[in-house]
Amino acid sequence: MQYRLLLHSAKFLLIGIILSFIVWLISSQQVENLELGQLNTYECKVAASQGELDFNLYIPSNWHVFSLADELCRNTLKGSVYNKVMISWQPRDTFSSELIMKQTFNVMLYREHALTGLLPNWQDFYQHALDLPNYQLYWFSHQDNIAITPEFFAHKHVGLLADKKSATGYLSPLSEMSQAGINLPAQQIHLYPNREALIDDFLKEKLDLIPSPDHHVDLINWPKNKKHLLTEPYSQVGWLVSKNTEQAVLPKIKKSITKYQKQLFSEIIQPTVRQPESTPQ
Amino acid sequence: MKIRYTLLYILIGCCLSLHAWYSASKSLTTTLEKTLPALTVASLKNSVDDRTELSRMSSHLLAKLKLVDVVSSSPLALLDKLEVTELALAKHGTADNDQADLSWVFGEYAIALTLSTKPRFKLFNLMVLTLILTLITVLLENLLNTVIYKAQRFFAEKKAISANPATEPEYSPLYELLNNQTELSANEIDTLCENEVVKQLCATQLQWLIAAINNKLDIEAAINVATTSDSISFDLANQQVYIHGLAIRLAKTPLFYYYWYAQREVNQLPPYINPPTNKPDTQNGEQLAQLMIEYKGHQKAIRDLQEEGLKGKTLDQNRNKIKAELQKAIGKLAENYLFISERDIKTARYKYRLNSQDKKITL
Repeated sequence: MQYRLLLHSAKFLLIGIILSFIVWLISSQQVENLELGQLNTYECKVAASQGELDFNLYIPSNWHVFSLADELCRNTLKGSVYNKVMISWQPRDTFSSELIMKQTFNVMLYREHALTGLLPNWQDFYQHALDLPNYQLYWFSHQDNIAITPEFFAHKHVGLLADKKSATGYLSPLSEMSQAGINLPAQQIHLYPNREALIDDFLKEKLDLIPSPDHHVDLINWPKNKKHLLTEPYSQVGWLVSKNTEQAVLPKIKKSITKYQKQLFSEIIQPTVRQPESTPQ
Repeated sequence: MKIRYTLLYILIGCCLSLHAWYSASKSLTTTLEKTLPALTVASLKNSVDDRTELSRMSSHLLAKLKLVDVVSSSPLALLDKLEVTELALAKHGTADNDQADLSWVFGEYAIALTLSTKPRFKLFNLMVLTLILTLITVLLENLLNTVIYKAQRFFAEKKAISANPATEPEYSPLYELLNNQTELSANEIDTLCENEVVKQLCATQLQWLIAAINNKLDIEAAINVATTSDSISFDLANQQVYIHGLAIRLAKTPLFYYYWYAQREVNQLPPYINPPTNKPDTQNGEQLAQLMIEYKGHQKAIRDLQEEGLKGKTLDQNRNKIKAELQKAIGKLAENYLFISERDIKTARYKYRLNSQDKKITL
């Protein structure tokens, strides 16, 4: 009896194994070549477009990207030869000389000296259209009386951006430290993937010192005695327009860019105006 | 049998569809795992507000992946498309991490992806593949049954050959008999062969012993049955009849008819002539109906007897049922406990009586 039971259990087990194997074999499905495209871009369709061209724009951060795209699609390029606007904020290290030669972007907000590094004759492909208004870069601290000296920086934890091509987040602060003879050991320098992460940790007081433009939302009202101006050794950022861009739309583009810049810097202009009123609190 | 195959079909169908869905979903996750971390990190590097950017990317991806194309490993594709119903990217700590399908590091924190999918089956293909697999399974089972049967025969023969010289020659016919006709283990058979009572049993008694064993009685009870004299006794309350001391369960109605015939034997009544079709026997019908009422017989059988009386056709049917059920339980031994028929000279109809020769009948 037990022997029979054993045989039949073995039978069902064998059937089960064979069946599972066949099921596994024939029901395996796979997704087909998934085209995700880039995620560091935002696109919109140009209203009443008269052509099929793409209008590509590069900005170093996606700050107010939606309103810029909206402005370009609905007003600036309306009825032009451009059909689609694509704004990219791709990482700086993906920028190449080919990108400049091919004039991939119609408009770029970029540092000219960095472009020279990529392609010395970049001016054959791009022309300068506008400057970004001067903004200032500061050291921010939780302590008063910041001094750029080895003594002050000793045992301080400094946060920087991991992006080694970022002038404000990496190059300027490091070169200033270097000039002042400050040589921090590796465990005192913390690198962050983006500015939000850097400022978050600074606000949580995990960091003692960070560099940042003073118009950042979270740092706008930082006490004056707890920040220190960082010298800006590089030339400023400028708006560059590719030479293959339709000349007719150029004035309109400049207007839109100016409007966009105003939006960006409204946040610094407002508090500086209001500051005297708000100090008594 | 039909239910068994239907269940098998449903089971296979479920396995196929669930695995198709699971594998497609898994493949989507694996594909995303390869590309998504780099793509999201590239975008977040220069993003001002991570949370906003993550939710923008989520809705962008969801729109892009609404319906994902699927390729199948078999020529008959089971899935048409994989529909992504939910896709959310979130910073760790804000989303429940255990529920994340994927997560990757971004600086000090991590990004978690939660994904829900819905399959769009090709129903026709699914049904056809399920049918094919069900057929294969049934064939495979039959094949294995044959193999098992042959293997059992082979080993039984081998065991018989090797057992022969080992056991004492005078018991070997008994051993073989028990080995061939019961499913007892070799040990149990050996014990039985050693039993003094069993050794004394005659051929018919041995058959009763085997019948009792095959009716799942234990050895001791089976020996009791074998040594009981030829007898029929009824236990109507428990719906069974003891034949040669072996309890056999019968369906209610045939059991009453069996009882009724037995009653006639006890009362030494002559063989009962099947009533003519046009003239059912109401008197005996009523008697049977009363018996059924007393022991909770089927309402329909009682009603039929009371309204229409005892009919030849019903008698024939029930005798046949008794025969079938007894044969099923005790095989050839049943013959002695069935009916004797002869043709009535006067009416030219058959008359029947229970074979009560040399039997003690207890009601």
